[in-house]
Amino acid sequence: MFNMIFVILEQLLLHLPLMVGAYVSFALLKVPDLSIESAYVVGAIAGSYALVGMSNIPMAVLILIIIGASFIGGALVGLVSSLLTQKGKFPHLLSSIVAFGLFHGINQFISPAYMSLGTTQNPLTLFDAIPQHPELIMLALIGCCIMGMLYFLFKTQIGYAYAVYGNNPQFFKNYGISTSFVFISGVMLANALAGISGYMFAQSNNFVELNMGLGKALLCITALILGKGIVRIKKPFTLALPMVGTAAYFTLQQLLLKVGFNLKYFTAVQALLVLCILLYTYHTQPQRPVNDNLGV
Amino acid sequence: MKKMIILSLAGILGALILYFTLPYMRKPESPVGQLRIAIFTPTTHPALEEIEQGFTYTLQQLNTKSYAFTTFNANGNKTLLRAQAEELVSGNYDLIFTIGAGCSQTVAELLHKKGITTPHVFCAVDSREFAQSLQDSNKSTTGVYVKVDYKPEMDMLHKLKPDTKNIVLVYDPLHGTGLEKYKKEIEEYIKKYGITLHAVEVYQANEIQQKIAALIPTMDVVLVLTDNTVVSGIDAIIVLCNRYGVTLLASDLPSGKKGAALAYGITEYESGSSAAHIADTILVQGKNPHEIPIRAITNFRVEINRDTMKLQNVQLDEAVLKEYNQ
Amino acid sequence: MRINNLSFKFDNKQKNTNYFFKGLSVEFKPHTVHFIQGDNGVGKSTLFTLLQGMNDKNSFLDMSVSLDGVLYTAIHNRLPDTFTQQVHTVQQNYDCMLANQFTFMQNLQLANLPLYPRLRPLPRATLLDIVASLGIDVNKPVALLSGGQRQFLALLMALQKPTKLLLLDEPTATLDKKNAQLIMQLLPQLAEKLQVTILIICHDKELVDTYAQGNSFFMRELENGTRIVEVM
Repeated sequence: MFNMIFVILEQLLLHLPLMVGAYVSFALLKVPDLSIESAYVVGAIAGSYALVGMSNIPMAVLILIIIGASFIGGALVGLVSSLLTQKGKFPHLLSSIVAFGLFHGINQFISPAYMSLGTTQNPLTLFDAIPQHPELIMLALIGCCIMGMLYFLFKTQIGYAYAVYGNNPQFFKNYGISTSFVFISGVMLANALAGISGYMFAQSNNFVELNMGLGKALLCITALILGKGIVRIKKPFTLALPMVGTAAYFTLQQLLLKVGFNLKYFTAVQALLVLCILLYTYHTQPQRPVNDNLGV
Repeated sequence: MKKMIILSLAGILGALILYFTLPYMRKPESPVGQLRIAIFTPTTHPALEEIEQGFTYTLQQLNTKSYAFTTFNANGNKTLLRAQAEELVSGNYDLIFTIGAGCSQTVAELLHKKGITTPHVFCAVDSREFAQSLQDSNKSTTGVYVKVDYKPEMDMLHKLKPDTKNIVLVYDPLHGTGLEKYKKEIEEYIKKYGITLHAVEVYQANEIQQKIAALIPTMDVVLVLTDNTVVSGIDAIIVLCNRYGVTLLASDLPSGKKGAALAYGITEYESGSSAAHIADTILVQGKNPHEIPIRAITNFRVEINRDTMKLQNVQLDEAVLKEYNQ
Repeated sequence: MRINNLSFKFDNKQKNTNYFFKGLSVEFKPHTVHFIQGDNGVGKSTLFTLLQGMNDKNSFLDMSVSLDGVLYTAIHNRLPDTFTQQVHTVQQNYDCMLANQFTFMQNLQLANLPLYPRLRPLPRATLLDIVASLGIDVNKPVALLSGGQRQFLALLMALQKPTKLLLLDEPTATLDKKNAQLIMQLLPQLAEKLQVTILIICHDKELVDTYAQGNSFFMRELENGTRIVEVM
């Protein structure tokens, strides 16, 4: 039982930056930002190369450098896709698909299709006090730092601006506020967080694979919808939503595994559950915002 | 300004396309005496690289012919696999060598459809029926297959770890020709040892950790079949098995080198080498591929990884090793 | 405030197109409310677009504007940012100016955001005394406010940043009589208090007659296709 709880915690912490990033782009900015899948992989590659290239540095400093590298790697993907949207005037769905394609090629150019991290030290095991879960403490530390910073960010002007963008993208031009700045910084932040999550996931699994980002957008949307169904807070935005949604997703997954459920049908069961939550949510809250096309 | 940016991007894109496709646009012809061989592999993996090495090295050793090998790698992408198959089938090669069920089936089908008679040798197919169906589907196809039988592997496991009660099988049901039949075979077979099989289906390598992390501590052995999806994520399973002291039994030898305490499989090099002998018969002796019956690879080995065996709770037993590695 | 020699064409690239405005000059008393009337499509909203600097870059514009003693001249077919930054508009569709998931007070604060929002708390709202006099619950989400209250909010949001010229396009079109009168009573107070010149496009003759106090203009189209603005 305890082991299951630890596993849920670990998966939650590994995916939390990705979920919060998806929350910023899908739920706050309300854009279909598929480039987070690419940012996930680019962040993993950037972090892994930083790890391999700077193995002589003390681990406590190395982890900061690696997190920084994966943050920058993810942010780069966000920069490309958001620039295409704002300056090229393309729909963001198209921009994110183009960015995905571009970085797929770039990833293949700079990295092999599969890279094992088994021969390098694992910075996530710096505080390995919990037996059989040596990465948990470091993951919790990273998670708390990121959530703390984001909690602060969402109380500032830029945090509010992200939520306003999703509520009314036309808002800013009436008051001399740069819409481009808000959008580009928001998408970059979302993708940067996905990059951090990508590195942590790759390190925990001990390999980087170029296709490891596939399907993450769907996972994010599912978790955010679950979170929206569970969390009933009246504020326009809250960090509790992605946290609760992620926790619910992995708890559901592990419970199904625990009871011996045939995992072949896991995706179908998940889809049914999400449908039920959507029906219930939309039934009890009939007035959705006008531009709430994504439902998250 | 915007027009200049668009024109510049279009120019760069055009230059890149030309750079990468110009070499392929001329229909290549072999220099006099040199034989052009296309090698088609589904993804990057040490096991597949060993097969390729076994094939190319053996072929070059068998005679004094000069060979030019071109490798096509689908990188795990099924759309790319189809596109590359189209490319190499029309590429005027002297022989096509394919690794794995997906590549082999696609190439055989295309050769048949287009009426192209390029000789085709396949390898790393795990079912006799499937291998025979490949040969039947196209007149210029033949190859080697692995006579997969997990029963000796389970017997070996029982000899090494007789107190095993629970095995978790991690597999991709959609791999190759479908692994369900092997799962059922193993499940039935190990009942006689009082072992229960727990199956965990994964469809992508990045799902492995989430799906098995909670289950592993209650298991005695983790079993992995010859399954590209799971094998490509074997590092994640090795980490968990080392952490929880659970034995990892892999059905391919390269995974043993990576860190699986127990590995039972064929030498991939030998698989490629066997295919090279067939290729030599076709290219040098001029035999029709259809007249060469498909061959089975049957010499399996057991390897114990001495670095991880203690972590994964495996005792070295020379008698068992000797029995299986004759 | 004075508009001098305004000449404007929508598309400068096409030859032989008529001028929309040609040599138009009009003077408005400073820090007062002025009404502009005219038939639909005559160009009232176009004039507002030009004053905001939001005309298309392919158009032709030649004009100068004198505002509170400073002269601004159009450069590259657009009024300079030094002028347009002092001009704010309340659109007919005022809901597009609001963030309806946030409260009344938060909207006022959001209207005060700088060009590039920063890692600092939301700026303070201004005109809180006027807000208090309206008797609106400032902690209520905008989505739950009435049409009139949202109109007031849009007006106050437009005035959060330093403004010298306020443009209102049909501010009372969607309001009932009572709220329309409230807005009209409030505007002169704002004009005097904040030293703002206010131009209003309004088709309601009764409101214009009641509140114009001699500051009423009529825009009409001439036979040659250009427009003039006459004092009524």
